[in-house]
Amino acid sequence: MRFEWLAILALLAAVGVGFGRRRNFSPSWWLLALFLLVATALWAWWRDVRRRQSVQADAAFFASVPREGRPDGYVSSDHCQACHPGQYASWHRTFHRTMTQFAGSTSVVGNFDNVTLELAGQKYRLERLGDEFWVELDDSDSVTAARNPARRLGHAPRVKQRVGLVTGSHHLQVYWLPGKHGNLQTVLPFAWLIEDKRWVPFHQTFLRDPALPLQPSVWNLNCIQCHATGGQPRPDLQVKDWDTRSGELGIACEACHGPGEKHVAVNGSPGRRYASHYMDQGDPSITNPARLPSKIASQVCGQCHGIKWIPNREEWRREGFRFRPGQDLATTTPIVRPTKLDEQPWVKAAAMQNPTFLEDHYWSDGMVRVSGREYNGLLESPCHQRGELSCLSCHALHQSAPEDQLAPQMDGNGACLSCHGQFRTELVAHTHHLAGSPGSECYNCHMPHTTYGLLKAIRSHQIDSPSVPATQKTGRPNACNLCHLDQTLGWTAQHLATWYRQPMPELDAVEQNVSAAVVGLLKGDAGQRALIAFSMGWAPAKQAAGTQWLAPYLAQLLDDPYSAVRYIAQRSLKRLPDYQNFAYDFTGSAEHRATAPARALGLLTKAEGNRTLRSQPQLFIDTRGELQQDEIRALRQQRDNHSMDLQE
Amino acid sequence: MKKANAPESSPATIATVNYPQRHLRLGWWALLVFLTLGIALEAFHGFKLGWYLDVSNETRRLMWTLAHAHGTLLGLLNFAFSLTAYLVPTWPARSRSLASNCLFAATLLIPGGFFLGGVVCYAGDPGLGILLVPLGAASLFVAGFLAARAVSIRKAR
Repeated sequence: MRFEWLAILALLAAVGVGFGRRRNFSPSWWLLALFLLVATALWAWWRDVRRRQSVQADAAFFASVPREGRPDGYVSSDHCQACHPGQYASWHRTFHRTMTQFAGSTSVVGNFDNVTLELAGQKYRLERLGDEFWVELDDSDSVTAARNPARRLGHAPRVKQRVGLVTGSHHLQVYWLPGKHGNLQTVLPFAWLIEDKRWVPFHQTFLRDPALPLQPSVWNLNCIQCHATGGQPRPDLQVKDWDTRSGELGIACEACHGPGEKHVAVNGSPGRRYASHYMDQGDPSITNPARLPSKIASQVCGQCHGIKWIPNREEWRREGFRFRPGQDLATTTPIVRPTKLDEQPWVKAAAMQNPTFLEDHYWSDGMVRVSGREYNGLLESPCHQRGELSCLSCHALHQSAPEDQLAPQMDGNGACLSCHGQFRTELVAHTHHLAGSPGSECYNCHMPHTTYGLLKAIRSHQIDSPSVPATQKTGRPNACNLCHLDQTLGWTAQHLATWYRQPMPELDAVEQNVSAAVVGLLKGDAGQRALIAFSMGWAPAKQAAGTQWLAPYLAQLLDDPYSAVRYIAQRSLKRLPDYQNFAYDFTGSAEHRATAPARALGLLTKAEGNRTLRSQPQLFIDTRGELQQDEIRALRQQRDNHSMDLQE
Repeated sequence: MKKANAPESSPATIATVNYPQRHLRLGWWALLVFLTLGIALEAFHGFKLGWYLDVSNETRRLMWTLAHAHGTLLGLLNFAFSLTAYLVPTWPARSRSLASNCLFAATLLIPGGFFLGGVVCYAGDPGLGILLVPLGAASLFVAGFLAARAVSIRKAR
């Protein structure tokens, strides 16, 4: 750069001298030329200083964040683009790529426009300086922020930290700040809700008992497992120094295809490439999940979309995961399956260490209940156990829209009918619902929304059929009552017995007489309440069960102890007529929350006017169209208040 | 039409071939064909045709753009050759004939190879038609060398 400017100045000077001598310029012209030259030189020098400062700042920034690039054959997606432009482009638009990124103008979606946030008496001022995003906060390592009494008293001096990494780009975005221990990244205690366009306390984005102590979130240990490719935490715990690195941030090509160094090297030869194109036998130098046997192919997804057991955590911290696509996942990081406890004695050991481990992830029958663990569901599905169903049966990573990444024709019944073709002509006879209606969608009955994560309910990936005994045993809402929100468990049992010859289970009075959704919403645990509240905002359920009666029940949840339940309830409530502009903040003060149900009911009374609720005893609406508050209160008093912390 | 027992490279044929005319004709036809290709490529952009513009078809786009550019420039090069052949009567007949044939081959092989290479692509690799390009490039090199030598000899004299 400096040479470039010197050369330009020398040329200008030479031209000026030559021109001046020929024209015999006066001294004033020479002075002007000299001034211009000096001014240009000063400007060039100033630019050079700025550039050096920028280079130094970049160097300091990249020293403070986990490094990209690691040994063992990882080369990064940059090397894939030239030969696989289509695949690179289709990957580039996915949310996989943006799971973790360096903070910058193209990655940060949160509002950093001089925003001041406050949490537990501490202030965080967010600002943007060009392409850099900064947070001013109390000077203390973020890890100890919540536990350091000095900080609470406001004695800590203020410092500015540049945001290092961002995680997420779809539903919410989380920000990571460099600490004082190498490239350790600790969480900014606020997350940006993308759809709502607002900041919320990070810990309130989880379905977690508010009475539980806050746990410090560290990217280098938690997120790195699945939000980076080939991550290696590499802490030196003795001196508390971290030298974390990964093949690449985000879920990149090598996460699914394995390290690409050998593939890149051998395919430098055009002869080999053309032989490979014409033979069409695949390339042994790289893994292509589409060419793997279905069960091994699913393990490629399962390395992240499953609840893994890490047998040797010390080795993992040092080296990262040993699993590579195409290998048997069970040999390195087996999937925790509560249904196979006899074959997995270490699950019992884990449960001994953390008594809520199973409950934090699974329903009591072993079905996974948290999002992002779809492979666990697949493993327990008969279609996978006895058939060839794999993740790639329905999902396509390169020929799909970023949302859900479903393969073409797989967003409807085509996914199931490709194997269960006999139902193509017997659909109505099998479903007992009109063709084209939500009740005739295979997904709605066999993959209901019984998984929680990301402040919403997500479809279960364990393919099963509606079962009343399963609901009785586990508390998990069944597909029928997640749509027919106004019907009882007895109603469902009766239909399943008549239509599918399921045995009629024994039912108590509440199960016989009260809507299963109302029971789950009033009596259920926080996870069940979240699922029911979600369904109350789900269009097919509102179509099947009507909407007139929903507001009073959703209003009950506006004062729920769990922030995630409150969030889902207010979202469903605001989707009802007359509630779009209902003023409510799920992170608001206890007083704000306590008055919200009454305010919501008041709005209902005003909106209803002369209209009354239709008498529905199973919904506690009497013949006068009034809610039987005593009955509702009695059920609510039986609410399952046991402490929950769903580990999505 | 060539006579069966009188190949083009024989002294009799060399003497009768009108090289300036030949390359003037070839130049204009090359310009016509490859400028038409350019118009077609612009139309593909205009109508946003996926099989030409999608990222997965980047190789095709590159190949056909190269076919258009090389074909057009080779058309212009034929004009230059025509002028050179006209202005340099001292150019040895055998050398001039070889240079002419090489340029003729290059005018067909280079843009043709690029075009065929873009018809069938394998991710980042062009189709096998691309193999014609190095042959054409070698021919063009020979033609260029012979022309440069001929012009230099004239100057030296």
